[in-house]
Formats: sequence, structure tokens, C-alpha cells
Amino acid sequence: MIDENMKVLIVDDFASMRRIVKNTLKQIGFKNIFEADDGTTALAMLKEQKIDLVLADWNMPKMSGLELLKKVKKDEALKTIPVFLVTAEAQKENVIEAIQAGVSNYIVKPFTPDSMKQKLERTLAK
Amino acid sequence: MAKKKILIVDDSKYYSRLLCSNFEDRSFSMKSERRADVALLDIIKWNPDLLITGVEVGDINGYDLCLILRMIPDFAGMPIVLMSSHETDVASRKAAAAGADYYVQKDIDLVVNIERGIERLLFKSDDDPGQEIEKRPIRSVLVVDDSSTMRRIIRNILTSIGIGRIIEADNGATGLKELSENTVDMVISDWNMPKMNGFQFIKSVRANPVFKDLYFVLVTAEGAREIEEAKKAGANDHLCKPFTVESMKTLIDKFRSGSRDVQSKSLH
Repeated sequence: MIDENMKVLIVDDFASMRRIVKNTLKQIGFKNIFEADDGTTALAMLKEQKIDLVLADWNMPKMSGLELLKKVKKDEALKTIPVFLVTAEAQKENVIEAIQAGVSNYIVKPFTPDSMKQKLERTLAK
Repeated sequence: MAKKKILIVDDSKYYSRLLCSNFEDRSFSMKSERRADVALLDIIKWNPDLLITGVEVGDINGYDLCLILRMIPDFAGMPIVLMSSHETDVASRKAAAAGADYYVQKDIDLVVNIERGIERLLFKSDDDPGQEIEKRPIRSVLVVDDSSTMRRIIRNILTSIGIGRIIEADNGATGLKELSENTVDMVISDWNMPKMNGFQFIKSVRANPVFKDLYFVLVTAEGAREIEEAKKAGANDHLCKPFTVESMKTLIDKFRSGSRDVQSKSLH
């Protein structure tokens, strides 16, 4: 079961994609949803708030989702936060890097609320 | 001849050992992993010819593993067998939606059914029509539909039959933009879309001499009159909704074999 009071951070440089993910999370039942349009802002928010879950787009300028994942997992205060990467396509070398960096799972676009909910439940139940 | 490589992913040592012991004797090179995330690294480094995966294989489950492989261009066409002890109808539908090629139930006939899957996916028998030489290869398909769910369904079917590159657009106008930027072998387009529907889209495509021979398939729930209009506008073929995996595969096979003016019908 998902705790609806969990705080979720959506990181994506496209506002329309953030809206889609936010609406999907609301349908699942999440109430505390935060947004960042790049990795640097996301890192600052992670240090200010107690975020329980990060959903980050893979392809972003300046700091990609993969780079954000690596920074989160290297930070002692943040490394236990589950990070999901949201993507439609990925090169195999980057997938290796993501696994080695500790990605929790992938949300493959296009996704449905049910598929996202099942993945989140599996990870957040631990 | 080099041995075919098979990777098994299952949290149960029993099933992994059962399959490894049965198929290693038959000249396959076998590996097994218990978790999908570890298996993913194996797949990338070892490049198996076939993946057999269970469902409960860690935080990333068997369905996720299929989806992830289909999003990596190098592995989008990898044959995947999904095995499960869950209820067959539900599990096989989920397996197909995730992009698996073959589903088997974990029961007393597991080994026999896996063998059938391996035969179908890795080898072709003498009387298999798939032995025909591919006269028209399909490397890239443009899928145009305003429903992301429908685009995903079509994408999964196309990747399951080995088409490596699928480009998506959510209406005809975006479809035209993608055609100007990408080389595609086939367009599969819905009829009813906002901004520019399928009929307007195909008329625009055929108005450009560059695309006069581009193979265009219309997907429609409309009637015979609309289908006739589409053919007059230049559609090569159509697929009636609701279509099945088999009807889509038949359409693709006929294109590959070089057949023209095919009248594909969904199988009910």
C-alpha cells in the first residue's frame, strides 16, 4: 500500500510532462507532489524538504536524470531516497550506468496510472 | 555453429535448474539470474539470443524487464518468453502488453512449452512460411495516433516482431514533421485525430512526390465508405479496430514478402 502523505518530487524540463506525471500520481492517491524543472533545482529541494520519492526524466539539459540519480546516491543524506527514471528510449550504456548508480526502476513512456502504481508499491513497500 | 545463448531470470532455483539442465544438453549455452536488475547487466554484456523470465524477479519484475528491453534500441527485437504461475488469461495479456513474444504457464508441461517457444522464436521449420526471403525489410515505422495507449500497444507488437525503430506522433501534423526529419518504411495511422485526422494526413503525404511510394496503413473503426475514401486518397492497406496481434503481424509479413494491395482483416 502507498502512503498518500508521502512527498514526491517530479523532475522534468517539460511542464506538460510534469503535469501528466502529477495527474497520474494524484489518480494513484498522492497528495504532496513537488516539481522541479531541472536537476540543480531538484537537488536544492531534496536538501530542504524530506522527499520520499523522486521521479526524474532521463533527458534534461544541464543535468540529466542519470546525473541527478548519481548525485542523489552519492549524498549521504539523500542516498536512501528511491529514484525512478522516466523515459521512452535509452542507450544500453546509460542503462548500465543507471543500474550501477542504483536506479529503483524505470517508468517507460507511455505509462498508465496502474503500471506506475504497481511499480511504486513494489519499491515503497520495503 | 555457435551455440545459441539463453538467459533465464527467475527467483526460484528450482525452475532455473530445471530449464538449464534440460536445455544445456541440447547444445544451448545457458545462464541464469535471480533478479531482473542483475539480468539486465548480463543481457547488455552477454547479449543472449533468447530471454526466459519469470514475473517475480525483484523490484523490477518480469513485465518491467520486457518493457525496459523494448526501450533499448539494441535489444528491442530480442525474443522474450515470459513464464508465470499466475492465472493464464490475465498473465498472458500482461505479457503481450509488456512486449513479450511468448507466454508459458509454470506447470507440469513447462519444459515442453518452453521448447515450443524456443523452436518458434529461434529456429524456423522447413514448412514455416517465415522461411520466405524478406523482399522488403522494415527497419522503421511511424505510428500516428492521438491515444498514447494505442501507440504503445502498436509499438509493443512491432518490436515483438523485430522492428527496431518506431517513431510516434499524436496527430497528422506532428506526423508530417516526423516524416520530414526521419526515414520510415511504413506509416500506421489512426483515422480520428485532432488537428489533422488520418484522411487529411494521407492526402498531405501523397501530395508530396517524395512520399508517393511510402507504404501507408490506416487503422480505423469506421465503415466501408471511409475505408474506400482512404484507399482513393492513397492508403495501401487498412486494419480494422479492434485488431489483434495476429492481424498486425499478417499485415507486416505481407509487406515484407512483397505482396501488394493486401486486404487485411482483423481476426475475430
